[in-house]
Amino acid sequence: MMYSEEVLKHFYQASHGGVLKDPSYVSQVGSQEEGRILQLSVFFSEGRFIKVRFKAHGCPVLIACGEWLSKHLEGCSLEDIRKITGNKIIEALQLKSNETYSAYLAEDLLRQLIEGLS
Amino acid sequence: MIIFRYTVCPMNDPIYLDYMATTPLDEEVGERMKAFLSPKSSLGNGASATHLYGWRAKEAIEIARAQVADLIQANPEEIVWTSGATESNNLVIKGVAEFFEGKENHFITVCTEHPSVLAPYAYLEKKGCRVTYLPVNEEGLVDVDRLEKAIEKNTRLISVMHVNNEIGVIQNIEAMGTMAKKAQVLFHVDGAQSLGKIPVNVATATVDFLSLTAHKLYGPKGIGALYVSQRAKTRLRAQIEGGGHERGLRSGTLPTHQIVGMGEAFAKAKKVLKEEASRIETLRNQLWREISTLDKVTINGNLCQSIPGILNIHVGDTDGEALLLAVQPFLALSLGSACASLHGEPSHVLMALGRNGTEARNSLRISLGRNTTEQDVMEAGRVLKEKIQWVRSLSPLWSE
Repeated sequence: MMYSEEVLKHFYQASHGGVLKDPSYVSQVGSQEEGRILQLSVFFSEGRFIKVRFKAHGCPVLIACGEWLSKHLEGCSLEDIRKITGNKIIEALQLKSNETYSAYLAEDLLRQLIEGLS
Repeated sequence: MIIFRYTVCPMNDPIYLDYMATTPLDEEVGERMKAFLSPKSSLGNGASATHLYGWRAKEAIEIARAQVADLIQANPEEIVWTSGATESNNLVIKGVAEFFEGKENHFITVCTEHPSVLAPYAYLEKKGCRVTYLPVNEEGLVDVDRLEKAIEKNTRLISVMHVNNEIGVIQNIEAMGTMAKKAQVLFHVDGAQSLGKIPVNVATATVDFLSLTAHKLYGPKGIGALYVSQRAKTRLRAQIEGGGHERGLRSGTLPTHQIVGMGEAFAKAKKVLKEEASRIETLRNQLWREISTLDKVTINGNLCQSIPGILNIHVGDTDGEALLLAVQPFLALSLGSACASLHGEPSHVLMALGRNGTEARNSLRISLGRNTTEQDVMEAGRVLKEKIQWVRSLSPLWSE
């Protein structure tokens, strides 16, 4: 169970965990049966993400993805986040080949978020 | 270590709570071994019968053999040295199968056995033998009546783990041994996790083979033994051929220093067993009282029917890996067995208890031992509660 330095950093220093009160939108993917759920709640105003919080049920990589996404979305526009792909997350968090499912789940979450806010 | 850069750096190394995986070398055992590790004292080969150096090594080996036999109430000549319980298990299962080769053969074991038993039985199945894998109940216990019904006229060997390595439950080997003897079937017990923790008597339990290892009771790694009863020794074929050591049952130069260590560990275990078991049980119960105050934390197994130091807990609405990583700077635990952790698969033992894959992955094995203190237990309770609550706070499944 050896995780990359980036996964460890985002896991142990997760500061965006939680939910927002009266969010602009909440997006969630995954299921309890699969053993992984990723959720983002966002304040979105004047074309930008003001505040983002995540909830994650799953392995440390998924929690790291949630933290990474939340950090990177704050301040971004919808156009900015269209450029975030699963592969970019894999690279940023230095994920191994057996950990990439979390990054692709995060990508699905972003697509759903973009659709919901567009 | 990388992980400590991103956490509140603890003052000390993590508290070791993985005694079921392995135990620290006892100081007295280490000192006894050191006596055989100098250039002069390590000189003799126990098989060298023509000079003083060989005789010295042989004498030390035979003293250790008697110490090992003493813990299980056996005769020293019934002890065969091996490299550990894995080798002992393989020797019994394949060695008995080879004795009965050419006949129609049936074997019985339990679905929750250690991989070092399940793997050789899977090998025998590929060779055409039939194997019955008995199920267990939700506490991990075998129904002894069901074992009796499974015995056939071609059943050659029954293999049962005395104490399960993941949940610590104790099987009723006395009843099983009696049944096996009545049916004239050889009875093999994997004693890796019971020796030194609970009393073991090969005569009372009517055991034909008992697998032993040193590193689970404060001895060195890489050394073990197999108890072979007088009745069974003619029904076992060696699996390692060579110089004919150990009365032809296991060839290979004996590692004097490791054998001496195993003997010393077993001798000490006999002296301290009762008092140590009582102390460790008190600490285990204290830890369980602390963490059981949390919702959705339950025991896998049965504490009333398990060895003193183990706590295998299912933590609902969390992820086991996330929990393990959260406590890692502070506590050394495991998700299941050390062997299973190599492969990242859900525990076959927990699945056999009726847990699904997710529940099996969300379980932690905590095991206490000789060096565990009350302070360790208090700190472990505090850390576990804090980290369980933190991981849950991140989960959309959890609400206060």
